[in-house]
Formats: sequence, structure tokens, C-alpha cells
Amino acid sequence: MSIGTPKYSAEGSTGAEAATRDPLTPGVKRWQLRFPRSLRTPLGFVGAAILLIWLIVAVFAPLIAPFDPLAQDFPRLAAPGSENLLGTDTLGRDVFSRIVVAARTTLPAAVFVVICSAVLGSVLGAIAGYFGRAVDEIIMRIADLVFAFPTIILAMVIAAALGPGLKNAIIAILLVSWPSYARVTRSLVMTARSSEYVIAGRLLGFSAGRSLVREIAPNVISPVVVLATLDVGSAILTMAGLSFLSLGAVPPTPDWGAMISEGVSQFAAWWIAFFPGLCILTIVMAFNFIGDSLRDTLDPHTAQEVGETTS
Amino acid sequence: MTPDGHTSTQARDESTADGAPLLALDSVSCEYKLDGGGRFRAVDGVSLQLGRSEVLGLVGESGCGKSTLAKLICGLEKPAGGSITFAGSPVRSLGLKKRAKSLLGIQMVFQNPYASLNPRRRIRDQLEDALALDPSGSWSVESLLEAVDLPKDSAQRYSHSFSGGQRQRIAIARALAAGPKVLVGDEPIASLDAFLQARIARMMRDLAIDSGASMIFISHDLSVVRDIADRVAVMEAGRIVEVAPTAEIWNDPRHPYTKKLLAAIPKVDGKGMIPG
Amino acid sequence: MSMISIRDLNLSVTTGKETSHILRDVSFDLDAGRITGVAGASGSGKTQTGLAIMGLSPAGAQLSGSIDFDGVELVGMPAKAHNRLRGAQLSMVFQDPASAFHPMLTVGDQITDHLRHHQKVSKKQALAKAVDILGRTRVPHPDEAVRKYPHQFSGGQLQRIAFASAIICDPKVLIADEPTTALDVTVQAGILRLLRELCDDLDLAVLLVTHDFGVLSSVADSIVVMKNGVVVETGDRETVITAPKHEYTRSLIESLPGAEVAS
Repeated sequence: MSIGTPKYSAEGSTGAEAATRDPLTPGVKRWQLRFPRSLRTPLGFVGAAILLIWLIVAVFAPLIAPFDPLAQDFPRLAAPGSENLLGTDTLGRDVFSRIVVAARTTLPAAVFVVICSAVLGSVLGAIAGYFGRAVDEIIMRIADLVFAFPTIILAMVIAAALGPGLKNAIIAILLVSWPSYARVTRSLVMTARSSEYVIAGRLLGFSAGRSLVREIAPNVISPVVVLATLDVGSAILTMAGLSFLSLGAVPPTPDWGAMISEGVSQFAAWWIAFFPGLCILTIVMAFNFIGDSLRDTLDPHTAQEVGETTS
Repeated sequence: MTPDGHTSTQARDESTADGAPLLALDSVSCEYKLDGGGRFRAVDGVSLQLGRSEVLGLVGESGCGKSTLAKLICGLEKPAGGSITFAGSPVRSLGLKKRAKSLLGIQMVFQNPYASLNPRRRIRDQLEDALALDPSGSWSVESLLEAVDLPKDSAQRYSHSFSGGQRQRIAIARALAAGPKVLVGDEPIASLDAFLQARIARMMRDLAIDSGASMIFISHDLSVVRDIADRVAVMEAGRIVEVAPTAEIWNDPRHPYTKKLLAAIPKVDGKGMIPG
Repeated sequence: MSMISIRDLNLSVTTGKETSHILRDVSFDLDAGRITGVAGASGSGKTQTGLAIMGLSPAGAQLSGSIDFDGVELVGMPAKAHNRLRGAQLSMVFQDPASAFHPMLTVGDQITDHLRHHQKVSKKQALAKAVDILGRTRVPHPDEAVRKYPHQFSGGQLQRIAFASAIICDPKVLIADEPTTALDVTVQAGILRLLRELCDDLDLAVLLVTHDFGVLSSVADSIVVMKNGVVVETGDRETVITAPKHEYTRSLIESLPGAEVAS
């Protein structure tokens, strides 16, 4: 370009712009989802470690499980001991093996259901938030309808209507959990939609879809990711709840919720319910720790991003 | 517009004589609904013309409707009356639609450089979006950054690593990249340090004119507008009260409001005189 | 004899491993009845100098050097003692009047709050004084204004109310941080005139922080120019503006609009 730099740099040498950053508000870090960084907080590390252990267990379940989880080879209701590490259940199956094998269905199912409902909910929420008016009304009133029922009861009703089975349990949880993502995404998109960078994009001729995907999505995705992480725990709980009510995994498939359900009627044989319960506790905790530390590391950035405008 | 105001505007308005104006506003008005149920006329019967390669300064105080006028020109507000014509085609309000191709020649630089760049996309991506619109292909990301006096490696960075003045230059580069015929600056310098304001304003003017565009430069600061505008329109309470070539506005203001605005500018003479 | 005497003031903030020096060996005086303007670009440390006087330096900031306030050393002063001075003898007005007030409390409550805190007067007396002070800062209908809420005022009026709030405890020092930047030009002149009057009538030592040489040229008695935390030039108004000694000051003044026309 012929527009010479000297014309401006004559004044540019004032250094008036030299201090690009106010040292008191350290600049916003790279915005990207910094999972590794998030996991460096103590709680996040603990959560990640627990999750890693469970992933190893799930992947190598056949190698780890000492016995066939379905084989009724042992004395019924044997207490934890040297042969059956965590005891046996009412049908003489090894509890430890069942727990290990159940991790293979529970974990992927929970993650799958959360990803599906996060995608479904945020797409619907984004459409509602961006287009507003009638579209918004329809989507959000349906969401309200779902919100009006306690989650587990609605999931029960849907699962009961569809019939027992893991697939139907997943569908039931999906149907009850998308509205919270829709809510969050809708409000984020509504704020982003009126921001100047989105308007600038629209002046460049972006279509609605392109605005949403290119301009808005990167700016609203992190809260949704945090919410989803926190949600994995509750998805596992809901699934366990459905199994507990015999609406989830069909026996004899090993499932933590179903094992607890079986165990509660056997007070003397505490180990049947206790150990699966412990597993659910650790997994839920792990996801909550990760979710919390993700939120802590991601949200201050967004807050600073907003706060910067006043400097 | 009062009848006598209109005639004086016409009489002093010579620069648009050659052919049809690039952008013409004909008694445009815009209303907002108030919470109490009433209506507020933010823009009230504004008629303006912008010629080719002309810089029009639009000056007024906060709440006078100058930002609303900028939005109307870009199709971001729906006018309550009147018409806006850009290069022969009417400017319609954008709504949720994709912007019409014929109107892509109007681009805007916003007031707040901290909000007008996408914080989560690289500068390069944002500039390339705009470059895709320009059929002439006279700019590249590198030449744009060079034109606004930023280092080449800026393209790989995100907006948060830039100061307010630098961000505003990126925003200017993005608007230019689209190959605009009319560049609208809505208080583009208001949130910058005084020492930077004149510099960024001059840069905007030079870049717009050199690339064959016209510019509407909106500001509350007459002293900066004086530096860069060919003509100045003074706006008060939704109306244009005076339009004239810059020197005329400066040396011979006719409207009392223009006089008041001019008188309020503090002089940097070290004499300790409070203006007004 | 100066009301405030700043000597070799250093301020640094450590975040993680990095230490950034915000102020380096800053020295200047504030005198009673005079407006001292501090000019500089954003990030020059001009606001931090004001905040250091108020004892409002950011958490984790290390302050060294001396700020002598009428014989009292402010650097290293215990927070409680500084709290007693702040609002009573040291007061401050901020850039954005719209965000300086609590939206849900009446103006009267807000400007008498610290008066009642510092000077144990009754609510009635405080309100009477508030009306008096609002009149002094030319807020229209002061007796009604005390019962109104911030959103019922324009920006210029709110800034007058902020000034009223700042002077109600009869302070000796007033720090005005960009008090006119958020206002329209036609309103700015009125606020500057008010600042000048208050300074003269109340014998206030005023620190006016601004990036606008037009403002400094109008009201400042002396000017301190800062760059990257360092004072580059100090002098009386006319000398600094018409015959700046330092290259940086000259470049700032030349960068103003219309400067090329004038020279």
C-alpha cells in the first residue's frame, strides 16, 4: 500500500499506546478451553485422577474382573473376603466383577446422554435466543413444560412408557435434561446477538446460521461445557435411579443402580448396595470436581473479557 | 426540519452538486417506544446527502440521535418514516435477514473497540471474512495490517492482546477490507485517549479516501471532526440544525447550538480560561 | 507547607512470578487552593498515584517512598487509620457518575452516609447539610434532590452530586479522576467551573487526573506529565503547555486535533 507508515508513526512515537496492558488487570489469557490447565487445580487434579482410574477400569474390565459377572458360581450372600473381594449377591455372583463390568455400560452411557442433551439443548436454545419471537416462545414453553416436573419422576414416566432397557433410559434422560442447556444457551446467545462484533459480522453479510456458528458459538460454548461436565454426575444418578426402579438396564446385565436396588432389601448383606453406591459417589464427585475447576478457570476469563470494556 | 433551516442547508450545500449523491437520506425519522407507553423520536426528519469521496462529520451531544442515525444508514434500525438510498438502491432494515448484496458497500466502525471484535476468533479470520466481500481483491490481510500500522504477526493473535487504539485500527481494517463505498464511524474515537483520537481519525479518513470510499464520521468532538471532515452536520435533539463545509461551520457558525458547541471546546493555550 | 508532598513514590504489583512497576520515583506536591493536573496516556500510572494517596492501591501492591499529608505519613499507614482519613479529609470523584452511585438509595442517603460515619451528626443535621452542599455545587432544587434516586438525574447533575458528596465532610484534599471524560463538552465547562470554585473557596488541594490537555489548560494551576509510571515533566500550566521541555509532553500536545493548524 502506498499509505506510508511515517505519516502516522510521527505521532505514534509518543508511545501513548505503548502500554498495551494495564499491569493491574493481567491480560485475559488465551480463551481456549484449557482442560490441562483446569486440571492443575487440586480438586480438578483429584477429579481427573479418579476419572482416569475409572476409564482404565472400564477399558480393561474383562482383564480386571476376576470372574464372570453373570455366573452364579459362588455361595449366596458371601461377605467380602479373600475369594470374593467385595462379597457375592443374592444369586451368588461376584460383586466386584459385576461392579467392574458395569463401569463399561454406565460411563459411556452417561457421557453419551450428556453430550446428546447438551447438543440438543444448546442448538434449540441458540435458535430460540437468536430468532426470538414465536420460535423462542414455542421452544421455551416446551422447556418450561419439562421443567414443571421433577426430573426423576418425568424420566420414570417416559422410561415406563417406552419400556425398560438401557436405550430407553437414555432417551428418557435426554428428554428431561435438554431444557437446562436450552435455558443457558438461549440467554448467552441473546446477549451475544446484540454485541457489536456480531452486528459487524451481519453488516458483512453473514447469514443467521453463519453468525451463530462462526461468531456466537465460540463465545458461548464454555459455560455449556462446564454445565455438561457437572451434569454427567447427575446423569449417572438418574440412570442409577431408573435402574433402581427396574426401568433401566435389564437384568441380569450388571448395573450399579440395579445392584443398589437389589441390595437395599438385604440389610444384612450391606456390601451389595454399599460398593456400587461408593462407585457412583466417586464418579459423581470426580465429574463435579472437574466441572467446578473448569468453571473457575473459564469463568474469570469471560468476566474479565466483559470487565475490560470499562478500562 | 424547519422550512428556513432546510433552505439554508440547501443553499450552503454545494459539494454534492455533481450527479446523484452516493447516499441520500430523505426526511428520515426513527422512534423508540418508551416504557411508559409513549414514543421518543430519536431521529426527526433528517435529510442529508453524501457525495463520492467525501467525509461528512456528524456532530452532536449524547442523546441527540446521531448513533441512531448511523444504525438507520446501516439498516440496523427500522425508520418510522422517510427513505434512505444508497447508490440507487433503498436501504431496508436488516431484521434477521441476510444483508442484501447491494448494501454491503456500507460498513461501520463501532464506538467500543473492546466489543466490536470477536474475542474468540483470530484477527486473521475476522479480516478474511471481510476480504471475501471485496471483488477487487486490492487488499490482503498483510496489506491491511500494514495500512493501519500494525505488525504482521497481529493476524495470528486474539483481540485481547491489543490496546484500545490498536483494536480500533483492526476494526477499521475489517471495515475497509469489505471494500466499502460508505464507511460509517459511530464515535470511533470516543473511547480512546485524547492523544490517540486525532491520529486514529486521520488514519480513518486517509484510508477511506485513498480506497475510494466516502465516510460519515460521527463524533461529539468538533475539534477532531474539524481535522478530517469536508462538511459538518450538526445534530440536536434528533434534527440536523446546520450543514456546511467545515471551515464555514468553524469560522461562521449560524445556528445558536453550533455556536454553543464551538464555544465549549477548551483551548489548549495554557491561559487557564474555562470555555463557555 | 504543601498539603500533600509525594516523594520517590514507587508502586509495584506482583502477579505470579512477574513484578510490574506501576510507579517509579514519583515526586510532586499538591498545594491548598491549587489544582494540580496529572496528564498521561492510559497505563501511565496517573490514576494509581491518586489511588495511592487515598490508600486504595490494589491488593498485593508494594508501596514505598513517602506521601506526606500535612505532617502525616500515608505510606505504610495502617488501613484503619487510612479509613478514618478517607472520605473525611481525603476525598475522590470518579470518571463515570452513573456507576458511582448506588441505584437503589436516595441521593440524600448516599451523600450523608460518610458524614454521619465520620462526624457523628444526627440524620436531620446531615440532611440539612446535604441540601446546603448540593446548593453549593449548583444541583437544581437541592431540597427535592436529596429525596430523589440517581437515575432521575443527568450525567452532569450526577457529577455535581458526586462533588457534593466529596466535599460534605470538609476535606483538605480532593482527587478528581477524569471527572469530565464521560460528559458532553457543553456540560464539561460547568463541571470545570465548579471544580475551580470549590478549590478556591474551600482551599482544597486538588489532584486532577485527565488525558485531556484542553481540561488541564482550562483549570489546572500546575501540570505533572507522566509516562509509564515516571514523571517526565512538572511545571506551571502555561509553561508546560506553551513551552514543554520534554519531548514526550511536546508529542502529546502536538497529537491533539487542530494542533497542526495552530503551529
